[in-house]
Amino acid sequence: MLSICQWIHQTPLSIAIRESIWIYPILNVLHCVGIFLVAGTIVVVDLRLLGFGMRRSPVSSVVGQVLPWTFFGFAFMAFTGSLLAWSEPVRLYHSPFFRLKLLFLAMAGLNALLFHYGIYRKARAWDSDALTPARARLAGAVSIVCWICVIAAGRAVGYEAT
Amino acid sequence: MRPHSFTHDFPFCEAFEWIERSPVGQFLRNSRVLFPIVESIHLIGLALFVGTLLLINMALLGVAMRRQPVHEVASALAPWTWSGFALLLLTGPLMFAAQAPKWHDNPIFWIKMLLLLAASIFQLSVRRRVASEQPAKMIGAVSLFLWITIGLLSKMMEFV
Repeated sequence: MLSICQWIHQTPLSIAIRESIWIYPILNVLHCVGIFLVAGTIVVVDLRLLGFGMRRSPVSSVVGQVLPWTFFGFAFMAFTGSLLAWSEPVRLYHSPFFRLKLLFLAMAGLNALLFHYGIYRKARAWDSDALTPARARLAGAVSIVCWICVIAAGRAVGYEAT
Repeated sequence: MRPHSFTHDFPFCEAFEWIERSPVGQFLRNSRVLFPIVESIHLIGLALFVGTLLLINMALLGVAMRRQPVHEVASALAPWTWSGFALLLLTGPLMFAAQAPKWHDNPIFWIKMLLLLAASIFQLSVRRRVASEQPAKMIGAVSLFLWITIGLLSKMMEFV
């Protein structure tokens, strides 16, 4: 894995992003916009699941309307994030916070998958309930915690530099 | 000893130095973990604030959340928008205090503060109208523009 990172490190794209004055900051700004789009919209779904917001709207209605924006943000975040990581793979390989961030990201993804293919399949039975089933509320809580950790760990990666 | 030498002589130099020397400023600057923690809370507040505000404004524009009346989206999400804003207002000044003179010299910081003031006044003045009337596209567009610009400036500030 380290050798792959070292190989990425010396590719022209990696060097170009690293050595340019403007590309890295611009990517960084866009990456932040992307993550706020993802975390900010998914939190609305989570709050509905937890019964803290939009209780009068059916869950499927909130999910259906918000999720396209979450996916859009995610694509944006993943694209800019990959380029950022491409520019300094060796440092990130050694960074404990970067590993934590990826771990929380994977947990957030797994949680979303479990929700969609689990309790959400039977959503018709509880779609309009202000109080959702315990498993749905758990999914909402886990999601919020995971995204908070992703943001905090991501910020910490920036402070590890040298 | 001056912790920072000013390149411009704006009228706030001494006030900003005083803020940096204050116990709060020193406490934050001298701790290795406190500043990143405060900044992380700031970012989490930002996610809450931007995300909910984005949905409300896109509902106003008629782009998102079309199955609910706009006032319902606004009233359901507004408490979370303001909670996020409260987190931002709580943590922002703390981070500022840690390095006040540095921001004094940063033109983007001043633009951000002005836009922040403008956006806050705008948001408060149109709030009642959003709750009552039909989709107001202008309000949504202006609000989105102001807050996205503020968000972009905030990150750019670091690189200047």
